[in-house]
Amino acid sequence: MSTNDKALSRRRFLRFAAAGLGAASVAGVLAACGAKKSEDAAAGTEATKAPEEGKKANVELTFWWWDGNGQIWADAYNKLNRGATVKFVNTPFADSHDKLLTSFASGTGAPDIASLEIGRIGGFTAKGGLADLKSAPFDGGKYEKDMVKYKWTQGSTTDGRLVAMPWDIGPAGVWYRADIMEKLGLPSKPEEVEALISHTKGKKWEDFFALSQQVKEKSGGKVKMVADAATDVYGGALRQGGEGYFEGMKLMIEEKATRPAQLAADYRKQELDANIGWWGADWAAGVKNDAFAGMVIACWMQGGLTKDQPQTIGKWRVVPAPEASYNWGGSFCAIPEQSKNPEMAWDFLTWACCSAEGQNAMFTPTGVFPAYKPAWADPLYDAPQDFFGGQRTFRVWGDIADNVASISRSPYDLQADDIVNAEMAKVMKEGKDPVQAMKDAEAAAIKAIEGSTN
Amino acid sequence: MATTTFTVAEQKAQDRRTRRKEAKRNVWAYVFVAPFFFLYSIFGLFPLVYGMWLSLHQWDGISPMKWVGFLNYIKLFTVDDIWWQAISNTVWLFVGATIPQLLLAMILAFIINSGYIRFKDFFRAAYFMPFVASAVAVGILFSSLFGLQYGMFNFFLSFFGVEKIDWLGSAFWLKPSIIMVTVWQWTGYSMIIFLAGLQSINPELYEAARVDGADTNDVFWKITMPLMRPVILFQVVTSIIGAMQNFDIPVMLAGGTQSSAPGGTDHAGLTAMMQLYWSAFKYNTGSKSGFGYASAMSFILFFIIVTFSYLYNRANGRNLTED
Amino acid sequence: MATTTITRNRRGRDRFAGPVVMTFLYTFLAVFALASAFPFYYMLVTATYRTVDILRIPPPIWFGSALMQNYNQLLEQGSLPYFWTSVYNSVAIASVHTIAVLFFCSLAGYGFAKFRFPGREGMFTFLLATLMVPGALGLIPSFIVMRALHWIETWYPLIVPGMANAFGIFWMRQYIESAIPNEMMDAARIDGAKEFRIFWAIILPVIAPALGALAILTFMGKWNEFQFPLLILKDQMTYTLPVALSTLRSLRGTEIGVQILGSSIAIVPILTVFVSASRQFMSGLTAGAVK
Repeated sequence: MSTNDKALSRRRFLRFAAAGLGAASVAGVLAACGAKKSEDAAAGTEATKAPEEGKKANVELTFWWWDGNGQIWADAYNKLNRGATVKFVNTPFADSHDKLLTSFASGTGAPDIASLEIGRIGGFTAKGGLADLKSAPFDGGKYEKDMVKYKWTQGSTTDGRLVAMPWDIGPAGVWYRADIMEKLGLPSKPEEVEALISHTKGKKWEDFFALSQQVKEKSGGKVKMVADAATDVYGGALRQGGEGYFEGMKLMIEEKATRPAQLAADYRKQELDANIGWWGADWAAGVKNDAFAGMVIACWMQGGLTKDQPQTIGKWRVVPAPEASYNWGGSFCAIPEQSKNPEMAWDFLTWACCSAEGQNAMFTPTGVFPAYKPAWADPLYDAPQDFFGGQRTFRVWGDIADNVASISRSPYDLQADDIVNAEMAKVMKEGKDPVQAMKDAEAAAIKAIEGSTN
Repeated sequence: MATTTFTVAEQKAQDRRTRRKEAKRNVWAYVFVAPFFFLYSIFGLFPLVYGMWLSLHQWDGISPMKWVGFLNYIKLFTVDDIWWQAISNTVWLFVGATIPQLLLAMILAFIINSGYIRFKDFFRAAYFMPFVASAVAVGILFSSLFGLQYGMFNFFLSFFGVEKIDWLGSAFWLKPSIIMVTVWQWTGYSMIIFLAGLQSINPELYEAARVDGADTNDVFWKITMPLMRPVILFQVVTSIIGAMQNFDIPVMLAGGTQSSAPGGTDHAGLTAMMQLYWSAFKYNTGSKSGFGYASAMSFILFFIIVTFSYLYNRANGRNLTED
Repeated sequence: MATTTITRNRRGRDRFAGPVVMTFLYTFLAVFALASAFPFYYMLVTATYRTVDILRIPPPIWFGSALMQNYNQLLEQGSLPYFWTSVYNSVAIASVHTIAVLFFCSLAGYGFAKFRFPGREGMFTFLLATLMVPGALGLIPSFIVMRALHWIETWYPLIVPGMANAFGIFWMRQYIESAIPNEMMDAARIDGAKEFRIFWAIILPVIAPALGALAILTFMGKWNEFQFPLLILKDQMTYTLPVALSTLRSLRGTEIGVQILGSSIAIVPILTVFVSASRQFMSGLTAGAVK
């Protein structure tokens, strides 16, 4: 023991001497950090050794998602003792995909289960890095019939591999505040409003404009129907056309975005929206101050509003959108090829995404709506929702999801989005002609995106 | 005669001894500067060389790299309008934010250092405060202050009958907004640098000058400014470097959301570094984005930074490595 | 002669410091102090409100009542499990890094400032050039280096690479060059002092103001560093504060009050240290600069 100590201290001494006097103090502290890490590493090797000894296999899986609620899945799964412990890592949304890409590019550091968002999925399915969930050891093909159809296509590659398992979807519709509508003397029951604006009753965006006009008039201009036409009207109308601006490599900005842009520009010109940009403090204040009576957005808004705007609980109602059902947002789960435990990662992934138990464990507290249709059979989906004043909204979402047209994704989605959004902002903020704006956007996109065609 | 010879020989021996002594001393100098070169060769040079190599390729980070020669550079110079718009925004923000910020910081540093002012600690702390706030906090804070309908700035302006200004939404106001935040956050930082420079000037020099009959003006131009030149040079060069890599504040104020593009309306707040990062990590696909393309961008940016620094030095009539 | 000097001197001073000028100066300073401090104050106010209450007409200018609610959410399991761990991580990383930077940069800055060794010009030009290379692209190759060194999932990538950095060396060199006369070293050499000892015992104490400034700037830079730690840290237990706080920024909007509170908790101690230390670093040291 003493010789061992001596050898250690001599080695350390040599290292210190080599590093120089000042460096030594630094090295000392660093060694301390390093020691902490190696302890962790030692614990890790123990954990991986364990399965060899007996049935109590327990590998550690890392799971990345950009929402703290990921812990819900980790806790629920870990209780089942299926042979793996899931360690959830909260990766900030704005950078989560960049972090994954960095792992692929440098060949190290990817998680066992990664989540991907619809806006970024195209950039990942077109390349490598993610395991094909249809070939051994995976057998994902059997879940195709259970998943919402448009979602399955998005997770698949053009050559038919499945690299991202559908997780949640974003069926969207028109939300409105029954209390505000009532106060203004406007129809406030879902059936009445549906009859006025929903595609299920053959209504168009023009009808939605008419209702918006009434909200504006009855309130003397103090209350508007929605916050921002660029999101509520354009965002909705664009996604009804299938979202994204590509069909294959053919750019479709003019075809797909011109009418949505015109609608939004008209809406703004008639001052039907409150001109409050989404996603910021201004918007939150707008809700709080009843500056708008509704919004055109997906089901996942419920979670945030419950937490941030509790005074609105029970006052919301939802009806299908004008013209068509559509989807906004949603995510996937994937297993990077770097994963050292693909079998257990698959076990977790199928439990989480492809079982009613896993999907509903997440859905119940958070409203993250399953793409896995058998999960909807749960009686939970027929229950009246307090948040929506007793309306059975989960059924509404399910019906909307069943009717969404296919959505094609391309690896250039984000870039095209940004180009169009920059033009769209000119339409909304500077009154640029929407037809011209989308022409310009298409020209800019063709220039910026190699291989795209007109 | 003999004496002279002896003295010359003596002198030569003396010189040789001094030289030898100096050579021996210089070994220490190499030891002193070695850590930088050691660390840089591992953590800086490899990434740099790798980046050069990358800039000649098309690479999305996942698929195999594809050799394209100088095509990335050619595309950047011939067809990429957005990139040059981003460069021009960056220069615009440098002129509009960094230069006023430096001047203001210098004035404040001189006043605080002048000896006529009390409550120095208070002022210094007040000016420095913004610098300790993280970019994330600054972004959130100013996004709410700049709010169109409910923001505090518009609320105050309403007392003066000013119409609501769309600070972060309109192409016209986005740059002034970024400039305001930049000046707010960085003036204190520059002031500290200038102040440290001013403090290093020996007060005996001032006293001596006064004794020789110099007035405040003379002292300022003949003593303070010449002695401050290295510090000013330092601060201007590092500011050029920093400003050309401007990223945090524009991203926080106009980084794009689900319904807006990074850089805001008409890319008015899109900086070169933003476009570079987005190309590398977010767009990432095809022959006009990705790590190779972005590497080429970074070398163009590098070239621009070197040019600006060089021009400043020329104008300043002084070489950076000179003493 | 002496009398004239004093008169001129006094005249100069009076001209500079007349009551009108002084009022102007104080007003100027006060306006900027207010402009600097107000958003900062507003930030602290914001930390005591819920997101929905931060923007309203009229705006809140005094502290609200949601401080504890925000704080609890900051610590809430699932939302941000490791807040205090991340504060500890940031303090540890930034402190160790700062100490190393002070040592290596002043050492190299001294080397460049006060020795005439062959290759000096070239080496220094090279050093300056490295400062001009845009950083973002180093991310991927840095990862490859860190993998080769088996440093992924440790703190080394955050501490080691910048320990001797061009900015710090440039800064220390500029300062040492103007603040330290060669006679100081020569005198020590005649007394037989060794080179490292000269640096350690004679140079270091004299350059305290520059070290103080560099310490603050380095510490702040490391403390607020975001992109690289975000990409390299794989375990929530090792997250630094900015990375941990950024997990509060969600796809559907941001908990403003909670995030600001998290940032403020981090800022207040730093500011206190700065205010108390700056007096030592920055004033009263001029006498020691040159003897």
